[in-house]
Amino acid sequence: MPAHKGTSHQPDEGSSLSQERELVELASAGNQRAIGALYDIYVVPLYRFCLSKLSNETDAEDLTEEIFLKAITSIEKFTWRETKRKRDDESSEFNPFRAWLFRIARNQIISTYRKKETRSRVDVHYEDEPVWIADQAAGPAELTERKFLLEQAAAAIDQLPESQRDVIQLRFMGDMNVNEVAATLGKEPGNVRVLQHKALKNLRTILAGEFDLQGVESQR
Amino acid sequence: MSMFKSSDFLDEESVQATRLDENLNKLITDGESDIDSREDPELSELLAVGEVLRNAADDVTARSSFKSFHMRSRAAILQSVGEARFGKRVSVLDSLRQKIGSARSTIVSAGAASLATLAIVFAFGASSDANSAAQSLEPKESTDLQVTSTVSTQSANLSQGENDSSPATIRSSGVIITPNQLIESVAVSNSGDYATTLEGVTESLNAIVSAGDAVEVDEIRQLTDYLAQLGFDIRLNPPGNNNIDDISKFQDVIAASVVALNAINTAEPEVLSAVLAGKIVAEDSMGIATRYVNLNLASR
Repeated sequence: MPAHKGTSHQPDEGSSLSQERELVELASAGNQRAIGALYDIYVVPLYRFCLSKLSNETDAEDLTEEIFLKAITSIEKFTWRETKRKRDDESSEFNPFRAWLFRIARNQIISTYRKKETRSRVDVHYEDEPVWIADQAAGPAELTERKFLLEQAAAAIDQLPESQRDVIQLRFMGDMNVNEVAATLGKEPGNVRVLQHKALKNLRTILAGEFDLQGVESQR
Repeated sequence: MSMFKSSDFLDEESVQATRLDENLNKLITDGESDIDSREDPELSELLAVGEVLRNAADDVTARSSFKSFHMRSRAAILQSVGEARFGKRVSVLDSLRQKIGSARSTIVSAGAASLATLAIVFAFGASSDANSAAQSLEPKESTDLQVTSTVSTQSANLSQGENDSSPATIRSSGVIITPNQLIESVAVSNSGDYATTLEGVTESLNAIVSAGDAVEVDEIRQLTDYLAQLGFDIRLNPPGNNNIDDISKFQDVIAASVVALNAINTAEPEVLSAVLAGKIVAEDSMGIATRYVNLNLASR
């Protein structure tokens, strides 16, 4: 059973793709262990994606659970197919299940948006949990900086045009590569790269007043 | 006619976008990029923005509240899926039951229907009389905890091993646990609708006890999954009076699971979360099992 991945599933995880395919097939047959394992893999990117789209943690939690349940209850309809058209970059793995799951997520979020149109967007708050509890290894100053970073990043992404926002949210919060983003949005990978490029340029301008990007560079 | 399709044509922006994406992949995968800010300041700044976004995303799920949500929602999802799946199965079984219902005997011997007596015995040493121990729940001042789970001697299905006064012991974290004979008897004797789930619980339980403190999160989660499924097996496909012994066995195996989970000695937050979730699900399943036992006793 694959371990819970809280980090990127980038190309070095190619070997896990076949394992995931097996999990999907088992989950489709109703295997609870496989369903649990799939949830462990996707809870992180799904939650991040939902939180980036919605205004608060509670909504993001509810929606994450709802989306995954919806996907699992209709998983019999899913077929593992690698769409050649979408894979113009052979160096990146293409995970059709991830793309399918996030298409469901996106549609569900759009539907939720319609119901909650009046919600304020830039309202990511975490008053339920004091920041110093979140990570024992970091001090209050560092944690406060992180909270600030998160809120500012969310606010900056909100200012992007919708097409660029979708790409950034799927790429960075949904932990997807360009091929998967393209498949989720029904676009060509080349177009997604261009949108990503434009989005990061816009974000650079927006964030320049908030962050020392030179400082971030020097830390790399 | 051009040898290139329009989509193959790479303009300057596409070249830059592709280069950015390649370096973002490297940054995300390796945590570093080869780009020198003096050589390409534009690309370097865009990568810095990407890093800010990446760090922000990572921080979202580093919180303890997220880990708690993960465990809670996992259990809830598995329960919902189990409910939906077994709901379908029950409807098929219901139609079968209607056909054979009148022919079914409701004879339940007092012995076979007796409740499993769960005894969690806290005592010194490895030897203890199971029957007398079954009546006691007295914590002693000892770091060695012997836990014996026995089925009532009235049970028609009792094997000789269950009455063994000196059952084999399993050590875990300085704790001696002896539910293994019970687990084996449950796994061997049950061949009904719940056999697969019971087998899963007992296998997971044995794996956890064998692993001791080196138990992995996935092993605990597997047990939790099976415990959740067991609860729904009982709730959605209740065994009724004829098979009340099954429920008693369920109670035994659930109790053994709680004991094994309690014995895990770790400071790993992820393992602790998994243990907590396991115990919550175990309690839920125990509640369901107990309710059916009580209902059947009352109707007898």
